[in-house]
Amino acid sequence: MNITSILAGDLQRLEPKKFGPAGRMVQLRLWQHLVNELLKQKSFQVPVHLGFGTEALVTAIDEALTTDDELVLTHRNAVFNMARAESLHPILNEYRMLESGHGAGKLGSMNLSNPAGGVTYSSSILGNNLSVACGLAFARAIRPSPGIVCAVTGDGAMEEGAFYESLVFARSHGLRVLFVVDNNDHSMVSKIHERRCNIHIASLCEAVDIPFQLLEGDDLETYIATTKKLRKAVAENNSPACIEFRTCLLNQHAGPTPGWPTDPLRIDLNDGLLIGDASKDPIAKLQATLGSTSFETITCHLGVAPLC
Amino acid sequence: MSRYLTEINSIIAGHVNSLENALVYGENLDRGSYLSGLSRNLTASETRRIVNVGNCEYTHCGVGFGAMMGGVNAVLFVKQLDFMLLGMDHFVSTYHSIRASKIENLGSFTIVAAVYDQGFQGPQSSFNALQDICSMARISGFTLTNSADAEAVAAREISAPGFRILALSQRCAGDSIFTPNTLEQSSDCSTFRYQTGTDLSIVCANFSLPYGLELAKAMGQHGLSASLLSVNPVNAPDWSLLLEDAAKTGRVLVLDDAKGFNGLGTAVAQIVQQARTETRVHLCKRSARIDFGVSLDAFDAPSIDVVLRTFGLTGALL
Ligand SMILES: Cc1ncc(C[n+]2csc(CCOP(=O)(O)OP(=O)(O)O)c2C)c(N)n1
Ligand SMILES: [Mg+2]
Repeated sequence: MNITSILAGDLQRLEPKKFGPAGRMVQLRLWQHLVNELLKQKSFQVPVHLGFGTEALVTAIDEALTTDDELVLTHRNAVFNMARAESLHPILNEYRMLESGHGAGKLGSMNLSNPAGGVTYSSSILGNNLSVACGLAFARAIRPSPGIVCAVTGDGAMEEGAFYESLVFARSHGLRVLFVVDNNDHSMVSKIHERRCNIHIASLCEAVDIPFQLLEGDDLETYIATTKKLRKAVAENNSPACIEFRTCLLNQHAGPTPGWPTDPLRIDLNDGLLIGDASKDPIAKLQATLGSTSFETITCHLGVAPLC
Repeated sequence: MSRYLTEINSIIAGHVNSLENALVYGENLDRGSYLSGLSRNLTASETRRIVNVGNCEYTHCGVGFGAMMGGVNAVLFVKQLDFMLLGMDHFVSTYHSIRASKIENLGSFTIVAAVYDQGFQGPQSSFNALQDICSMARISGFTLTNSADAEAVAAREISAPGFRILALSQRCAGDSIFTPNTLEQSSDCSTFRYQTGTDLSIVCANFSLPYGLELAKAMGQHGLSASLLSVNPVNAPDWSLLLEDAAKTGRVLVLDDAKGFNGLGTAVAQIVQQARTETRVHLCKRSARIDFGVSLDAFDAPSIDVVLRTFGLTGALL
């Protein structure tokens, strides 16, 4: 696998009409591999938080949101930004702190946004983005404009009081916010049971009368259909909703994987696009669902077919 | 020579490990890299609990003050000082109320936080002005820049009733730690002096000591002698050591690499100028502009040539 030659290409977004969400999802995996390889080579000073294992979640949100909608993200915004980019290059250039990056080299990784692609704001401070999302949704009510705000958070960030406050605020003021919890049972190096009690988000949402859906298993079609349904409910009812996605983070918290010589986690593009079996790797699940032929049509087009 | 972070950790852990009735807590405190080494070597005992907690800093700060009111010695380890901005209300309001009340057997609350200001983490991850938190809340803070200060501050503060923040620089984590040969200090740890000279007093605020050290060395190489001091944002500080030094040299260079409009460096320059009107004072303060990126965001410490010119000193390179 000649990573250098792939990186030298235009790295354009796959044609949506031809390859659909499945194509996009596989491309997100490839682009993450490229960033991971660059991280291994110490190409960037900024620490990047990749999301191997979140591709189905990200693709579903990307599909469900319309051009009227906006995304408000966390430190783990890399895959979302990739989903919203026409090409990978402005993201790589941002990580290199160059003017040609999406944020003109001033946002780095953890705060990377791309308003042209519908990513309004990202915050590295846990819980910070949730109230900002409420403000953006309020602006849509005050200066009437269609669309919703999708605010992403994690099982760690939702421990901040701001999560609860934003649910209450959005519900109280009829704000069009879709709260998305990426629950990967991970907060830096702590699993949930190592740091807190369980939080039953369904009950929390029920308490403040917000529709809630739990999604797990990485079935892309189900993910897209459910996310679209909730997005529609938010837009039509002028009221928030919440989805919790159970995901498996396949990479280290930040930086390259492996992160050190004896790191038990291994991710290497030379081993192929897949990182695990269908029980934990959404791309393996996708391959099983699509069948090898359709899957290879995509990987062929991406120039990485022999890998799979 | 010991690494900065290893040494600071060992000093702090040593004092925390001798606390009784203690709550030692933080996010990812006892996992992974131990907050990049900051929370290594902590040991639990029957009366000292080590607790890994979730991500809710406002609560962590409230818990610390509550535990302190309940007579416990609370120590909160924090990966990044930025996150403590979520505790500002407790620092300002809660602690103010506690100080105004008569609480028997008041415990202690110490926050140990790393400061990330290398410039490339992102616009939100560059808050380095511990002094600004201290000013708003009228509390004492200590920027630990060398082994002698760290030991003196840890010994005096970690078990003392009341609240304080100890900060260390992630930027210097892997550097060799400065171990001064001599140390004079004010009893409140607001001022430390590591070397005494006659031509110039170099006063370092926040994490600017490495720059001050370089300049002091360069002064020596030019046949001149400088005093080298550092200052902390302490509540009701005793500036006598600082003023005594200023009177002796008649020339004071203040370095302050905290990002912000005014702050400790400005205050110290003003205090010296007003108390010793004949003293020539020059402040070198990090710009308060909002820039991001390693080169843009760096502290512009003056070169030795600029310093000599500024103070009208003539040195001969030895
Ligand atoms: C207020 C605040 N506290 C602590 C941190 C340090 N921190 C960065 S990422 C992270 C883990 C967050 O976990 P989660 O929200 O589940 O996101 P994940 O990394 O799993 O995607 C922590 C504790 C921070 N960025 N902000
Ligand atoms: Mg998580």
